[in-house]
Amino acid sequence: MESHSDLELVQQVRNGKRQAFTELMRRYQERIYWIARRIVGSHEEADDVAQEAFIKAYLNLGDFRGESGFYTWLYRIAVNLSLNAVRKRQVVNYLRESDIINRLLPQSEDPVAAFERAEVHTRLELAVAKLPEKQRAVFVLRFYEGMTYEEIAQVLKTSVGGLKANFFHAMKKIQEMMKDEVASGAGEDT
Amino acid sequence: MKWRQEQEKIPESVERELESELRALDAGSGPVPPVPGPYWQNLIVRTNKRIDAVSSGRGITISWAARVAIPGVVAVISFLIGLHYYAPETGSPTDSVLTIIAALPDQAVDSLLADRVLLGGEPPAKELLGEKAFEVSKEQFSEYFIAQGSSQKLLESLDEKGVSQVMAYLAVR
Repeated sequence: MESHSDLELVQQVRNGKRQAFTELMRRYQERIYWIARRIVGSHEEADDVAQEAFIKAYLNLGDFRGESGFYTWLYRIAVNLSLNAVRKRQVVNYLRESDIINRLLPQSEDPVAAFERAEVHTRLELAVAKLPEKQRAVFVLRFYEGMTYEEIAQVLKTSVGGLKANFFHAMKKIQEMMKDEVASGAGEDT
Repeated sequence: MKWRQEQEKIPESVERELESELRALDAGSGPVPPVPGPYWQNLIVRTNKRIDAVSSGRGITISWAARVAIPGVVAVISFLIGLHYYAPETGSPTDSVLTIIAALPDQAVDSLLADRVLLGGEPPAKELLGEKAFEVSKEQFSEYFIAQGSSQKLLESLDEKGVSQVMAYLAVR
């Protein structure tokens, strides 16, 4: 099964071979989960989005024409579902620092070291979570997934020029937010 | 989804510098807490279960829509369109007979009328066309009679007065 390309597996699913879709899920579940996780900000929602993305992909496999790669099509579904999930809930109420820190704390590690590491990570995650949804999606795909602008343009169906601007503004905002965090933290220490 | 187009030019060096700064900050946070291995297998199982649950109902819906609903709607619409454009024209029978009579050559109408009179029935044209169907002017009568009849027999059947009237009429024409 491993040697088959995505398109071959898609064709097999269309021919009724359900196991081929399980193979596609196995290939992409981690990436889909992490995209969702970084956009929605929580494991529970990311888990749900990942499942929804695969279900939607399976049910709409007939609409997939192979014009773009299967993963591009799947990413598009996942990003759209993630953004919908973000819209549905109240971000401000959900993203309390304590919640995120608790989620990020590894279980079997020195709590102080873990807290320090989690705190920096939390700052970045918090900053990403405060971005406008479009910039957040672009940032996640570019910064975490390492996708090219052309690939992101296919996923989000937008122009490369607009994406570059979105990514740049996202980075600027994150930088400012993190600087503010550091400054306010230093102010509290004194 | 509409994406606002922000088409300003950003130098690549500036973008790269900013990105590396953020990556350094992100790297300082250490590795992302790993998701336990069994979670992935579990995710596949749970997703497959949900696909089974959704696709069983959806299968019926799709097959019903594809095999019954869509062809049914198309058939009804086609029928209505056909009915609108290709329905036979329904005129009243009287109109049709009148149309046929009007289209017949004069001689055919005359023969029909003559047959009917000989049989002793009412002239059908009178029934259909009304009381004025046989009201003809003298001029029409004369023209018809001269055109259809034998002039020799006509003259023989006329008396002196009649001949002089015919001659006078012809002199006027």
